[in-house]
Amino acid sequence: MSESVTEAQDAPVESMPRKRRSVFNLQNMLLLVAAIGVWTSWWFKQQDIARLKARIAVMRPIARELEVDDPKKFAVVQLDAHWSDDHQWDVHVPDGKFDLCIATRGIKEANVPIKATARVSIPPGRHRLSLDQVETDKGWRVSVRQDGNEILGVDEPKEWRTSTGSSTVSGYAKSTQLPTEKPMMLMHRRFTKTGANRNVWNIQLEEGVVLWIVPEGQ
Amino acid sequence: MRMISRGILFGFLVIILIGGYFDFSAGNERNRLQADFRRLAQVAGDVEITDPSKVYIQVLDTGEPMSWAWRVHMPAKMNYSLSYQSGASSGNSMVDVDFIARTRYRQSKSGQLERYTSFQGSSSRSSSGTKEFDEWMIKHFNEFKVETLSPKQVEYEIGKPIVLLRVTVPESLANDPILTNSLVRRDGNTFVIDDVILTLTPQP
Repeated sequence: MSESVTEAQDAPVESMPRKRRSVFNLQNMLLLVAAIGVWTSWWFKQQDIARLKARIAVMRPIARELEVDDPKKFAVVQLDAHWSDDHQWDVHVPDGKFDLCIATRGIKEANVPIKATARVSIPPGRHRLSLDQVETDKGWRVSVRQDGNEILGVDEPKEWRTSTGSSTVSGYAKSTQLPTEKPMMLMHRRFTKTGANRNVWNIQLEEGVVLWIVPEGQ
Repeated sequence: MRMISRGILFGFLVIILIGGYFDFSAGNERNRLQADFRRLAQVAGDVEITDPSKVYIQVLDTGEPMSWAWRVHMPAKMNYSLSYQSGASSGNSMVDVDFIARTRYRQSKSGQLERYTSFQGSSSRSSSGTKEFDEWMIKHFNEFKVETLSPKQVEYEIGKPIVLLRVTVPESLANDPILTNSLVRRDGNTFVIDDVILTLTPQP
């Protein structure tokens, strides 16, 4: 018994054929599947992202959403009116000192500078502004709310608005960015009265409501 | 051979790790966009305009009583006419437009019931009648039969009138003497409080 063991130990070692490891082994197959899976998942997500981006691009202007690409500029969008005389804006005010101004008298054409009847400092950041013009017992109250709180108001007597007509310039149905050097005009409204003869339909009055944002002191 | 095998293993791991990173980032971006989409859809509806030359209208949930809104896609080169209880408006568009149309009733401070309609940038406001009739309307508005577009249908045919809203008096109120003395339009045996009808026709 011990001899045979010795014989076996002494026998010349025959060279065993080396087992060649194929690149198509189970481990590599699993890794290949994982790689395909991960990149396929990425590809499908990219398709979803492209589809969502396209639909959001259509929806943003309809929803009147404020878009701020350059925070150093003003940004403004007028919100969808839910009633006549419903004037609301979402604005972005850049870092710095700016005033919100209102004028109710001495109003000229839209591009002519006018003196503010009242003004208040507006802090940087995003705000919702709304303008109300309400008839009171004594006359009219024109007020501006910032994020729901009244920050600016002007009282006018009844004679201030005797006409029913007005001519209003108010844009920004789409989110717009503007430089801060010039006033950002939110609304320019002049009351009008009917002319005395057929050649003059509407006479533009100097009363109305103009609302704008300017750098402090301008 | 062992070096090749290790190289393949390393290569796969790198491809998987890079793919995983991109996939994770894309997942985050998709989640953010989906949140944006849901938020915007609450305001602007979620109509997918697959063919811009067609009319798409989706009724929106305003969350308010006596208030209705519709997301409208109007194709290019279209004339429109909108008729409603107290008037009508018409216009045209040279390019395709997407907007929100509204009809809303509200009680004024003086107690009058006022009506507001907006459609593609133009709007109108009117009051419905006498104070007595307005009070009757406000009292019974919840009992009126209100029909609007089906939320399931969004695509509509050009040329055919589209009834955006129809408010009628139910049979239980049809014999109310206030109606016989009012200017409410009668359609057969039905009293029609309001009907907002949109007709789109292609420009010649």
